[in-house]
Amino acid sequence: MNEIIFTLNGKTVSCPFEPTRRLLDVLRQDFNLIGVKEGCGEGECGACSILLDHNVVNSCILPLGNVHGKDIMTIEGFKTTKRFKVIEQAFIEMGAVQCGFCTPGMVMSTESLLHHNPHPTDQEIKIALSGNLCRCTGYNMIIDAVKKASIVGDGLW
Amino acid sequence: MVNHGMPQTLEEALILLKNDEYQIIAGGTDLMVQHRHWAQTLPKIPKPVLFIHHVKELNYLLDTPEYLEIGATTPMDMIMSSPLVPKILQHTIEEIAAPGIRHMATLAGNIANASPAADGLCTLIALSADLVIASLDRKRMIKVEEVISGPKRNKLAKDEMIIAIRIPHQDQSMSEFYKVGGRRADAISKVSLAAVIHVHQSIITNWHLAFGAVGPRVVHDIHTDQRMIGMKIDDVKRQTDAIIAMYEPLITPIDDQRSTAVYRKQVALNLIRRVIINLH
Repeated sequence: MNEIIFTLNGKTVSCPFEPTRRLLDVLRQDFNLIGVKEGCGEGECGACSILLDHNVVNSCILPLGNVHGKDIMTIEGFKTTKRFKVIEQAFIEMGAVQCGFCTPGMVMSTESLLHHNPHPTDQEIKIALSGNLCRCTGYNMIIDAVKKASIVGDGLW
Repeated sequence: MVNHGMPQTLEEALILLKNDEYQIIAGGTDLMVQHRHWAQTLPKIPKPVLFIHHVKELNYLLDTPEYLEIGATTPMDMIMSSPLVPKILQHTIEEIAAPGIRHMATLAGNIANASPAADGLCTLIALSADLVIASLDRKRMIKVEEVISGPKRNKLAKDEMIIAIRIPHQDQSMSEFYKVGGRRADAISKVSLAAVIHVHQSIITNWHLAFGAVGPRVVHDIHTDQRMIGMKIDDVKRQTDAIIAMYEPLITPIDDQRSTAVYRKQVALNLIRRVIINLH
């Protein structure tokens, strides 16, 4: 095998066979997808969250080898969807964004949650966002925003 | 130099393992952190890596009359949400990391990494789980606790890999997992206790306590546990202090970056008290 092939934001892409490379680096360096942030680099902050087959994962500890044949979506790909527009508007209205560094990861965790559970309880939202740190908002506004998105976007998930 | 391997089938994986020495990676959520290097550089993994994530035949849950079998590449999230899985194991996985990690991480990896603080390991040992281990030439079964030789060390031969975990069905109406960590998500345990317990007509018929992060390996002493079998709940409650004293010499924690020996010991003993208070 000399290439790793996967779907990235809807398009088939290939990378040289370097399976231990972090997906985070591949996305930022090779594809210029810089909405994917590096915070802690060890899976604790969630700033690098992306979707793998519609499940949120931490791209900073995801070896490229595990991505072969999978469907990867980053915030850049998700931005083109109606579901994103609903989440974006809810985050704006509820004041869920301050500095913005955690926001792409928060949005991907929100999409992963609503995809599996379109009408989550507060507790389910807290668990879904438990791997995403935000040092600005204190979280309440983000939880409110996810709740708002699930109501406004009813039927989209 | 040997290249990294990305087998699609178990047979391919075992052939590669037979011929060369590899570091096996399933989800990678632990090893990618352990071998982490600077940002934008490759992790420093000392051996070629065998990526088993794509071996689909190991991604399953199978219920039989005697046991539940979990394939080695089944992600934790899938295990956690399966109705086949004992509640104590579901609760344990809920306390491990966060969704982004649980979607990739595996229980088999949690075992092979052999951390004395591994929550999954703690509960599997309390559940008397077995491992199915395979090499190209043979398959064998071993108790989960027997595969661990020390902190971060396991007894797998270099051509072997874990292919499944077997959890025997058992009565365990009062089982619970307790974790003490720095925060609810993404915390490595300071102390943990998996208690697998069954009470029938006010008499203890099953009793296994496994403690995490209080010794070089998960602490589980079958001889001490056996002394509880046949006791009436009322007697257990009356003799709480004596029972705690019986477990006390087994708890030998150390100071490290996450906690102190003194705190860990006290909390571990308090958790035994909580288990006894909750008996009914």
